[in-house]
Amino acid sequence: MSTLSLMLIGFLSQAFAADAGFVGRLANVQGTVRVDGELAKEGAYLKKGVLVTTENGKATVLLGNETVMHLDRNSKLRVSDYETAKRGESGNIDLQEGGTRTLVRNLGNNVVRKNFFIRTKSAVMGVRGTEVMVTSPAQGAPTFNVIRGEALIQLRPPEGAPPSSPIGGPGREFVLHAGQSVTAPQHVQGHSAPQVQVESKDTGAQQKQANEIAPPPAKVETKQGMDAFAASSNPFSVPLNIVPGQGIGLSLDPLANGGHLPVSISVTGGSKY
Amino acid sequence: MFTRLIHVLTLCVFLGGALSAHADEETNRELAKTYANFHIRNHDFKAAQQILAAHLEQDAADVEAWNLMGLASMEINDYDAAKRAFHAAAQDEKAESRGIYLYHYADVLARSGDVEHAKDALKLASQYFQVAESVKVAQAKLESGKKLPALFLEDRARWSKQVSFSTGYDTNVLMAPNVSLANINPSSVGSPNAMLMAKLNVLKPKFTREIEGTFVAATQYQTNSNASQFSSIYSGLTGEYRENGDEFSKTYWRVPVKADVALLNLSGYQVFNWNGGLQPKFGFRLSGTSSLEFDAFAYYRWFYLLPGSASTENRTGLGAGGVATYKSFWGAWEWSAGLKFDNQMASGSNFFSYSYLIPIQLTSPYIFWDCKFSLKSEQGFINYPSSSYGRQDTIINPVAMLYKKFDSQWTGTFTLGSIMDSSTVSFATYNKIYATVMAAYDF
Repeated sequence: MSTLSLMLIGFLSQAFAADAGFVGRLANVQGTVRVDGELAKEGAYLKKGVLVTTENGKATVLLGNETVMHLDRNSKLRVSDYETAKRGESGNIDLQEGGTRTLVRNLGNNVVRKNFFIRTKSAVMGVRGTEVMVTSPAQGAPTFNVIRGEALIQLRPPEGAPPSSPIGGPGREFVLHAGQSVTAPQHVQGHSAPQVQVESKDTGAQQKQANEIAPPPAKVETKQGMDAFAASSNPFSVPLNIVPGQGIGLSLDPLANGGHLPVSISVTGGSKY
Repeated sequence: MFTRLIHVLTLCVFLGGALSAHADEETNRELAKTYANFHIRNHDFKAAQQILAAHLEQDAADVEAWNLMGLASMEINDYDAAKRAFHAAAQDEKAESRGIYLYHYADVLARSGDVEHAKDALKLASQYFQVAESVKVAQAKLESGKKLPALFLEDRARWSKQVSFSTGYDTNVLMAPNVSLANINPSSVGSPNAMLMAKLNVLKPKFTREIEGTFVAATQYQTNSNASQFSSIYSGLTGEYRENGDEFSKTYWRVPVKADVALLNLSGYQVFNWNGGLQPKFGFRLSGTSSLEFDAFAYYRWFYLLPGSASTENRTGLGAGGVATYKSFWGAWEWSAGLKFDNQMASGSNFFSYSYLIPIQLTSPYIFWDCKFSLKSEQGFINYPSSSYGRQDTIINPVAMLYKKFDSQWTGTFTLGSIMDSSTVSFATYNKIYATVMAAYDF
């Protein structure tokens, strides 16, 4: 089958998924993960507007064919909008709480992505590419890291401000490059420039921190590797004479227990012999 | 020849525009792999092909993605796409895994009937130590229209460590006979328990064979309301040398050896035993999904005989027996059933026995909440021909386990089991149910 026909099939399946209103799938589900409050399974389809909650688990949100959002534990993420288009995919994602390691495809040919946003309670990250980490604790200020590529951070207007309030302007907008991070203040007051410090970090340490949310996928090189990946090995091979709950290693017998071990005296009030 | 030339030219066009991977290309590669792995895990190989094809249009130098594309294509017998993909992967002479890619290329060529080019590819692959042993076997078995033997990689020894903790409840920890239950409060025979276990494992593959060693140390604590507190200390060592064979071989074998020591401390009263055994196993593959296995086992058990006890109660002695097991699949569920014979030649006449058992097992793929499920049961008849009580037992011993892997290190297991021993000797009859939860951490 030619590459062209594969691309065509890909396009058609994409179109089908879009027609059905699906914008993504849920992958790598570990622990309790919910979509709109319902327990979610690996491969679940996601529609616009859904709320993904990881609680004690982790999950990966695959959006279209260009964006992977790995969610840390105790994260809440709403896929407010996501569109697929020939010239690149776009989206608005609300990270209400928790953390994400997010990768977006580099469009190549120096094309700058301008329409993929990760929103937190007090700032918005316009991800231009290609790997970022955002953490937004329930109590505390959100932090934005750029590991590869570039991003634009805009502080959000305070709660209750008129919708027309400007969010850009001096001291309210920052361009972050690879290895940089910024912590946005929890509450922006008035129109004065808030005190925000852009920090430069060691990219290796930054990558390590991001990989704690989700490391890059394992290398799959052989068919056995692929099979092992598709179905993990049998976990029920318990070595030696250990079955949790049974006595360990001792081949006890009721004859011995009932007849010879002194414990029978305490149970029955007397030896049976 | 012409086809190969076309392949080379096509690849040159791809590679000509490709530069070494930059940071952003690394992101694109990881994205492609993440999507492809997701589709592979869901057995949607066409979707994996699509995502990889789109990625490779942009990044033709990603040999790992070409190889993955080839593997996904093989799964749906799309040999043309697989040929192109493995050929492209093998073009990078500096690629760390070039031997693997060449082997895969030879495999797809052989499957599609092009033995001559498959030979060429294998010859090239033979230069790579990682696959050299596999190549020797493949060269001997190469046949038009047939797949090559599965690839086995020369590998270093792999060590793994695990610590686990389990806790649960046993309704009849003292194995009190039914006849005495009327006289006691049932809670006095039940017991909570807690177990701590450490495991060290090493696996050393060598081509189609491997050797594995495991050391386990565990301690378990139990108590019941009659204040009969007791604890067990257990340690065991196993080794196994095995030949897994490949999908072409009709047979496989393994030789497990094990030895363990256990000590039970029961309110200051000690019981000690040790076991050593050998259980060679030979398997015959009847088809791609079914096999017949024969185990022959021999063991020696030493049991501490209490001072003053009659010699008829001595359980020390040799044991020997065999198991014949049929294994197959029911959809994605694996099941097995067998017949087992065990002669325990205990020196004490009350423990000399013949067992005739039927072991069965059912193992599921992931069923719900990413859990795997297993049901094992062993049931049958045990005869004690020289017992002074004329003892004969019927046993049923089912164990159900639910297993969940939370991440690469944490796993949880829930076990629910029962032992039902019905004996012609009233005080040897007992029933129990036990349940435990276990958390294990792998280092």
